Amino acid sequence: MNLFKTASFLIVAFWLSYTNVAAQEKDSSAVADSLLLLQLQRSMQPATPAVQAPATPAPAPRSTLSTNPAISAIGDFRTSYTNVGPRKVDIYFNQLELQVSSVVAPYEGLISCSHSART
Amino acid sequence: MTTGEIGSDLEIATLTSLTLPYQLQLTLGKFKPVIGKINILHPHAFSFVDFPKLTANYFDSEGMALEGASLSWLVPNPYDFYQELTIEAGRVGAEPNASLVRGENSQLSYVGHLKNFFDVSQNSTLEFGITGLNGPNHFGYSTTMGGLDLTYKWKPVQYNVLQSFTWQNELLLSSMRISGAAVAKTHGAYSLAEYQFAQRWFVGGRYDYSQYPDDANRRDIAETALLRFQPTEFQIVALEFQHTERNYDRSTNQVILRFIFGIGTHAAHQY
Repeated sequence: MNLFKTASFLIVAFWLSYTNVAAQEKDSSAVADSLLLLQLQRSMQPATPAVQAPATPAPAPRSTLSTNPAISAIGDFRTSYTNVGPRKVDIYFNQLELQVSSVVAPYEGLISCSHSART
Repeated sequence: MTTGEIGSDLEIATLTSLTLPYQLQLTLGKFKPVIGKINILHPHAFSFVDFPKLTANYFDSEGMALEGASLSWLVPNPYDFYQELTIEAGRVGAEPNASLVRGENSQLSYVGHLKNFFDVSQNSTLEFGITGLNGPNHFGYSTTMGGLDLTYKWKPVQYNVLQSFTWQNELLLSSMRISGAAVAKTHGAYSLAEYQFAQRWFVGGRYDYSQYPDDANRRDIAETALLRFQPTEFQIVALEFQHTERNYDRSTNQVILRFIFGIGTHAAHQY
């Protein structure tokens, strides 16, 4: 009798474990199938960008009118030799040019000043 | 010869319109009038260390300035090339030059220039200009001048910053009344060429012939050689040799080494 109970228990346990494993195997294949199906659906869809790219903006101008004046200084330094005159060799700072330029008002005018100093 | 004294003057001061109709542009103030190609340049913007003899003998060592108004018009034409007509009127600046002075009466100085600019090819351009000028002189009469300028520039697209070539020429004819019966008719000219053989290196040569506006018997002939090195956009080192023959004085040989350096934002110069 005990032997019969033990054998019945083992059979039931085996059946339960088998059905459980089978169920697990069925679930894993279903997941795999779902993934494959999703991949197939995606591959069959027309290629569309994930994010719509914004329209190409117009090229920005290289420079814009500005009321902030552009200021520059340019120096001109020289040394010279000549075969005539008492000072054959000379060395001097010839010129310094300062320039300021700016828009006076948009669409109205541009002012440019240049000032030089010489020796 | 330098004196060591530091003086200063206002070289230019202009107010320029930007939006006049009919492709017009008006400039008021003190400016360098459009007399050929050289006069409008600042000294640092010119390839050679000194301006041509023509400029020095007929105006001043750095050209001539005018206080007045300048009106330019982009002439519409059916041939699709750049044509600009410039009319200028005013008085010569405080520094009188050899040809023109401010004048003691109401007579003003007038300058007219017609610029014609063509694209010869994708890599080269040709510019041809005509200049006319009239104004009071230091004899109390008038000076009338006419000029031609011709410039060819080659700058290949594929070697944009590595190679270029410029050939520039000017001719100036002058008629200066020096008395009630005498008129001095003189002329001057120059031809220069400059070749850029590397990104930072240029060589050039120039030939000058120039009389003086009030004396047709005096003339200068000069030959100039130039080597220029530009380490950056803000530096220029130039070495120039010049031989000058004068029929009224000794001939001279001169070597000048010039360093130009700049800081800040400088407005672009005319092409």
